[in-house]
Formats: sequence, structure tokens, C-alpha cells
Amino acid sequence: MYLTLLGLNHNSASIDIREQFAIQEDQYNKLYKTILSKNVSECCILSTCNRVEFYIFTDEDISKDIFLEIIEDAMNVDRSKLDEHSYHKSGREAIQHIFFVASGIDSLVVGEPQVLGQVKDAFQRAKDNFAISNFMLHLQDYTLKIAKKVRTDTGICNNPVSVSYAAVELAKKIFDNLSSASALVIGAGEMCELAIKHFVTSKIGSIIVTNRTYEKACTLAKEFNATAIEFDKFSSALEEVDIVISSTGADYFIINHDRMASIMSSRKHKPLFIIDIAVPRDIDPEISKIDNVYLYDIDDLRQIVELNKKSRDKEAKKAAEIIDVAISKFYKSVEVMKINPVLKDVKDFFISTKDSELIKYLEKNKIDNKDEIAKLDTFLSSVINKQLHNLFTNIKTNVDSKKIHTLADAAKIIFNQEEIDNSEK
Amino acid sequence: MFISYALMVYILAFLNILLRVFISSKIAVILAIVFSLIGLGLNIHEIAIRYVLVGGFQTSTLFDFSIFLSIAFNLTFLFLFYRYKKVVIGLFLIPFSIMFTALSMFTQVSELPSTVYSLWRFGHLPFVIMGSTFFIASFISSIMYLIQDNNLRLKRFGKLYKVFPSLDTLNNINNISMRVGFYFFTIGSILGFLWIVQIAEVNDISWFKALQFILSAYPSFFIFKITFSTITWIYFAILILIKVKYGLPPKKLAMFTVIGFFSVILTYIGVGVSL
Repeated sequence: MYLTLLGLNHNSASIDIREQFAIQEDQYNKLYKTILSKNVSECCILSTCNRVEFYIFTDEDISKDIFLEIIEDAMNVDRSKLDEHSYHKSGREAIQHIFFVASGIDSLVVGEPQVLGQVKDAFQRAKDNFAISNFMLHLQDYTLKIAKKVRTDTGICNNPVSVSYAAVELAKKIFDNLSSASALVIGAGEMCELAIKHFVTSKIGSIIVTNRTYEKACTLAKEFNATAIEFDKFSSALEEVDIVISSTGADYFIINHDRMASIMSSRKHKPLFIIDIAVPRDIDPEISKIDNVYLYDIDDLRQIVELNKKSRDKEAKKAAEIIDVAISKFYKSVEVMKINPVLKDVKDFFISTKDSELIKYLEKNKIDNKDEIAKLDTFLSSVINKQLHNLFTNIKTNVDSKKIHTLADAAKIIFNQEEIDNSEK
Repeated sequence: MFISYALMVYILAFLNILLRVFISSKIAVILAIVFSLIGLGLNIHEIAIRYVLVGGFQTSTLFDFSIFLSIAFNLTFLFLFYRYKKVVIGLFLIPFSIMFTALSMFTQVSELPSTVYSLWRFGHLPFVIMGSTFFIASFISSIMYLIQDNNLRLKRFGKLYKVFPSLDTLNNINNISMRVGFYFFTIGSILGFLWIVQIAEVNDISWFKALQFILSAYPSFFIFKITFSTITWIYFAILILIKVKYGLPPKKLAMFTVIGFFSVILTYIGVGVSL
């Protein structure tokens, strides 16, 4: 049985190519049906804005040509274009790839959290379309488990890599609890909107919006349940708020040093975090010299983002090591999974033998006391369970052994692991 | 025997705090707290043994003094962790527990003369020790505040920036440590005063003579300890008063805490060395 992958992502194809292969929600059903009709046992399709990937589980190894043919038939796309921009992986490489994708290592922004949800959704959609069973369900469990482990055990998603999120994280280093902090947003452009979004997600206490065009401030305030004030009143708001986000189109400093010094005096030097994301800058950089004022401009935030990206890349190496170990464990678990039905049959055989022998014994000795029968049954079951537990553990431990054993050796392994180990030594 | 176990678990607690701070291990937080609690248990066990053997709390000998200091730093750490869930403060407090537990291992177990025996002294020293420990926590959080402020101001995003809590948290730790320390210190001082009064009445001597009489039972450095403890109490009393009445900005409060504490400690050491 083979797992094979064909896909394209942000590294192999530009956005205009990716757009051509993007899959709409109403296309999945037909796609799954067509792919499964091509001697494919199981299939899972992952489609996000940065990638489209097809994972198939088949009886035979599938070459890139055959895979392209399957996708060409299913999607009716230009095969040569898909060939040019796609990658083809099988076996260990394919498993490593899905682990990388779910962990965020293969993402455009390393460590981004959304992809894990998208992988989860992809498996669920495949399940809804009856496209996955034993192997892929097992792969799904393992993938989600490893992705969570990578995120917990490494710092891959610890440091923000977007300017707005970096601003929120900085604010958290000044204010303990953002829910009791308030922010003043000066401007109503796209950058301000993005910053508000991040602060709202981080549950900021309250937001005041101001803009030269009051109506724009009102529209933005309404969208985020904030308060709008007129532009000439923002100085008085500065005396109350904890965070200021400024991005106006002004070609002069809207707050200068002397004005801020007097505002800080009025607010009894309560710390003030100012994010100036405007170019040209809105806030006089001299303000950063005032005690308890923490001023950051767009370059400062970009510098943080760059540092964080480097730190994530470093963590990605640690994550790759975790995944490497996980792949070997996954293979072993697949072997165990394969042997489980056999073990179940063995157990059933033992239990049925126990039941029939118990009945014979009870009849022979004329035992009809229910308590006594229950005790005998419990005793025999526990003996069987204990013996089988040891045997099954030995079998599962050696299930991925590639050695060819004689029946006698196999029996030794199954019945007594230590002896065979010692004799080998 | 139990002292060496206590020393070992405090070291383990400290190592786990290091693991938490430098490699972000989450399990290390639990282990650090568990080890601190075990260390606390072992220290208390030592005090209990002393109680059984001697027939009362011996809070005033150098041995017991060291054990109490170790307990006090540990308790301060556990209290601040419980309150703010930031284990990083332990990086600075647990070493004191290690230091004083180690010190107690090299201290002769001695008894105070029964002439200065009083019930008040059982309360006096633990309260004063707890007070001093919280003042030290206040000093440490102030230093952390100033470092973090500097990091944010100069845009230095190194390891300390990442592991130190927010300015708000550090300011809160400073505030609460200062207040709790002040309460403990004040209660301890009142109990100490009652001790003097009792000794004065029993021996029919003046309060000043009673103080001299009590101090004669201790090593000579205790005289300076009392002098500078009093100066520390007055300094923090003024600081708290200014903060409550006029509202000190967090950075100024941190600066005054550090300056005050440094000058008291330096003078203390200076006087001790010169004598």
C-alpha cells in the first residue's frame, strides 16, 4: 500500500497559477468520486489560498504521470501547467510533507496557526465524502497530534510575524491585561483597521477612533463597536488612553514633544504606548525621550517582525527533528494497525476456547452456583488477558522487524523477548 | 539531614525555573513549584524538630534565623507566583532560599539565654524576616522593571525582554511586595517593642537598657541590623505615603525603591565593614 502526494504551493507556483487550481466547496464531491473511481483506495484534498494538494492511498506505487492523468481527468485542467508547477512525493516523503504542512513549517509565514485548522477541515471533508478509511484516519490522528506537539514543544508560533500583531505583543509587555486598557486610533485607513482588528481579537477594553473626516471615524468605530470622536478633540483623549495607534496622511507631526510632555504631566506619567505606523511619521520621535512614553514607528515594528521570523526559522529546525522521529513511530503504528485484526482474532479464539472449556468443566462438576461461575470466569479471563498482553506486546514491539525469522525464532520472540535478545548477544 | 534534602530540592526548584525561563518548558513550572513546596515542608519540618527537642520555638538563634529566612524567601516566591503566575521572580528569590539553607548547615545550633525569654520574640523575628523578604522582592521587581523599561525604550528584544513580565505586572509586584512587607515589618516591630517592654518590666530596668540587655544575647552585628531595619522601615513608610498621597509614576517608584534599598544596604555593609 502506498501514500502518494501531488500538489502545488506558494513555493512552486505563483498566485495566478494557484488560482487556476483552487477548489471551490461545490467541486469536492465530484472530485472525490472521480479520483476514487481510478483504483484509489483513499483520498484527501487540501486546498487553501497557498496550496492545493492531493493525497492518495493506493495498492500500487503511483508515478507522477499517472497521478497527473488522474487529476487531469478529475479537474479538467491543463496537464502540462500542472506538471510544471507541481511536486510529487511518495511514502516517507509524503508523510513528512503533511506533517510539515500541518505544523506550519511549510507555510508562507512559518508557524502560522490557521493551516492546522485547514488540514483538520480537509480530513473532515474527505470523511464526509467517504473518501478516507483506516489508513487516512490513522494518518489524520497522527498528523494532528504531531502538529500540536510541534507547536507545544517548540517556539515555532511564539513570536508574531505581522506588524499589527507585533504591536499587540509589544502592548502586552507594557500592560498586564489588555482588557482593562484603552486605545486611541488616529486615522481610519487600512493599517488602522488592521491594528484595531488585532487589538479587538486580543480583547482590548475600549477603543476610541478619530479621523479628519469624522464620518470615516464613525464608520470604522461602528464596525468594531468603538467610540468615534472629532479630530480636534483627540488631545483630551490622550490624557485617558493607554495605547495610541496613529496612521494619518499628515505631512507634519500631529503630536510634538512639548504637547506630549504637558499631556504626560496631566496624566500623572501613567505609561503610554504609541504606535506610529504612518509614513511620513505622525509623531515627533523626540517624544520617546519622555519618561513612561514608549514610541514605536513602522521600522521598529518591522525590525521586530524580522527578528521573530529568524527565531521561527530556528525553531523550524527543531520541529523537523521532532517530525523525523514521529515518521518512524508512525510507520511502526501502521504496522501495528495492520496486525490488530489478527491479534483480535487470536484473542477471540482464546476467549471462545475458554468459554467452551468452562461450560464442559461446569457440567462435569455439576456447578450451578452463579457466584462461583462468575469467579471462575473472571479468573480464567484474567489468566488469558495476562498471557495475551505479554504476547501481544512482544509482537507489536517487533512488528516492523525486517528480518526473516524461522518459525522457531518467531515463537521465541513472541513468547520470550529477553531470551532471544540474550542468545543473539 | 533534612537540611541537605531541603538544599537539594531548592536547587532543583531553581534549575526548573531556569528551564522555564530559558527553554520555555511548561512542565518545569509545575516541577519548580512542587520542589519549592517540598523545600518549604522540609524547612518547616526542621523547625518542628527543634520545637520538639527544645520544647519551644527557637526563632532567635542564627541557625533558626537562617531557616526562617529560607522559608520567608520561599513563601514570598510562592505568594507572588500564586498572585501573578510568573515564575521568573523565583529566579531571584529561590537563590536566597538556597543560600540561607546552605548557611544554616554551617551554623552552630545554639540557644538563647533564658533571661531574654519572652513569648513576643516568637512573633517578632518571623514577622520582621517576612517583612524584609517582601522588601527584597520589591527591590528585585523594581530592578526588573527598570531593565524591562530600558529594553522597551531602547528597543532591545533579547532574552530578558522575552522572559520578564510586563511593566504593569512588575509594578504590581513592587506595589504589593512593598505593602505586604511594610505590614509584616510594622507588626514585627510592634512585637519587638512589646518584647523590650516585657524584659524591662521583669528586670525593672528602662526600655533602652532592656534593648541593650536583649541585644547582648545576640551576635554584635544585630545592633546594626536593628538600626538599619528601622531606617528601611522609615524609608518605605515615606515612599508608601508619597505614593498614596501624591501618586508616584511606576518608573519613579521603581527608581526610589532601588535607590533606597541600595543606600540602606550599602550603608549597612559599609558600617559593618568599618567596625
